[in-house]
Amino acid sequence: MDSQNNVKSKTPEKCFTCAKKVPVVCFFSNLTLAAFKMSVGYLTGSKGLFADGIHSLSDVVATTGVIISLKISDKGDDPQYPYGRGKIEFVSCVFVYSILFIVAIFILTGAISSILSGGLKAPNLISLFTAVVSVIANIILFRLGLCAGNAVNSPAIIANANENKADMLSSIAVIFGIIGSNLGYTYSDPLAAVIVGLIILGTSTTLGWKAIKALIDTSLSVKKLKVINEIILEVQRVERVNYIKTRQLGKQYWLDVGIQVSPELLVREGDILSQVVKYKLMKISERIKDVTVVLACHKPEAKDETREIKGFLGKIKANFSFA
Amino acid sequence: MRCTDCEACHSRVGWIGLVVSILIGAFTIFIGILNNSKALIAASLCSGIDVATALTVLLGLKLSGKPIDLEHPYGHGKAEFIVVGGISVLLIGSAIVLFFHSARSIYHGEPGPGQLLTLAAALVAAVVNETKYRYANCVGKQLQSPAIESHAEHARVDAISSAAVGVGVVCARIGLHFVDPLIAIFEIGHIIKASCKMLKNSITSLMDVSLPETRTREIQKLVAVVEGVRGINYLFARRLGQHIWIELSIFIDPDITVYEGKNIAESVKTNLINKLNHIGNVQVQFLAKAA
Repeated sequence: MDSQNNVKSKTPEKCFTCAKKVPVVCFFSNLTLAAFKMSVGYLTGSKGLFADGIHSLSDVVATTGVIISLKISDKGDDPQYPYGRGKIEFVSCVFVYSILFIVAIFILTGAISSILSGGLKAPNLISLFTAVVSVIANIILFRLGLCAGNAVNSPAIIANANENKADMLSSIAVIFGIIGSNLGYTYSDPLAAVIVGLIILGTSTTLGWKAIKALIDTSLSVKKLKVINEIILEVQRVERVNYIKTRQLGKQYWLDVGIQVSPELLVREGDILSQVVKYKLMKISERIKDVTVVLACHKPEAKDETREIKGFLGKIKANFSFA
Repeated sequence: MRCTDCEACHSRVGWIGLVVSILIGAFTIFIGILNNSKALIAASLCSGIDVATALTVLLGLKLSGKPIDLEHPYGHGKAEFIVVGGISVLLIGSAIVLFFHSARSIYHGEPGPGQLLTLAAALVAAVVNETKYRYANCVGKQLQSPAIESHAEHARVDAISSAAVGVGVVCARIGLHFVDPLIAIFEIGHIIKASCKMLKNSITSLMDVSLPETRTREIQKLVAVVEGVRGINYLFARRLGQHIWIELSIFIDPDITVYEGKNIAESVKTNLINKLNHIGNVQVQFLAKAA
């Protein structure tokens, strides 16, 4: 993510086909995992594994959201949505993380109340085997999703991959819980469920907050704005950068820049200047969807005659060597 | 006709609506749960919708007053859509839960609420909502604000639904126990419809939906009449909270100076700001186009 605005990136075609497949793969593997873990968790009496199963089930819901939002955001822009439909990805993120947040609270309250009520039994060791399978499956899904998501810069796919990472961690917690329970510390299985709940709570709040920030048109970081500022100032005849407004539209960024030029410049020259600024900025990354360059100038100082003449001559002599 | 009294009412109507809706909502949901009246709980959810709409208006005013900063170059208006979206999801969720409870109680023939307390609560809610309707309707008519008028209409619906709760209680007393949950189901339909509309509105606004075509055409006309404008390259208008942000690209004479071009852009901007309401920002880009 960090280097995306400094380095021109080339995304291979195969990454896009891969990114299309990832949600489908995730959907079916999580569905299987959820059914597997919840039934084994229920039969062996492992609270941790059951909670982990619910976690996988919530991933299935999340992946469904991703599939739908990708379909919608691929529709592109039209008069109704002049900026494209990319933002639906953030909407689906907020929705999915809200569901996860509620699920986490249910898991936490259930696990804590079972610790407090006592009378716990150690779960059967079959549950241990299930948890190990889950860890391996989630490692594969996580790496796949992260690779594809970063390559095409899709917030929805990256969020989905992070889901799998959280899943893997929670399965690891479950393994420790089951081992601990069988060693005689019976409270460690519901304790693992508490950890699962906290993991879900953590991921859902941080990632949900991030999506909310993107939805209310939060700017790029100051560091990246400085880079953009430098690039604009490199262009000849740009006197000052008045403003740089940036916001995220799904996978891509939208830039509005206001630059100050000499008031004596002709509009046709200003046009070329804007094109150069736009070209330079679009070259930074293919993740920049569009750049709007707005020209402005200060008032020409009419009293200062020498300056005016100088400006006039400058206008005539103006020769552009943009490259 | 406008008078100073009406202006004073105008600034108050949002706050009064909010406080009254919260109080009535809390009161009816408390009595509703206590006496197991599904219809009264549904009526309190209706007040929840009012709270959401009133909050939108107030939050919008507050957020648009917050200055634009480095992190939020487009202002904070969109936070409003997120809040409203969240509230509508909550309302849809609780309406669905209530629907299952109501359906179950009809199916099992559970006894309806016959207590006079429920009847009293329903009547209080009906009277308060009716008063709110008359007040808001007066302000809306005087100031010709469609937003306040629709707010008033909503209070009317609430008054009717509260009165219906009273009917349910009377029916329960004479032995028709299914009436209360049945009324609840009708009200749930209304809640879900209203909440879905709010949710859809906030999601499309978050996705930067364009203003309706009639509005954009109106804006285009205002741009085209300005002297020096040779054509419109594009016009994007989107809502950021209560305000409209316009991104415009116009064609002008290539042989004038940037200073003159900037003046044309400025007059386009002032024309739009003077003729239209709720304009948050206008960004005018000018491009050269030979005649």
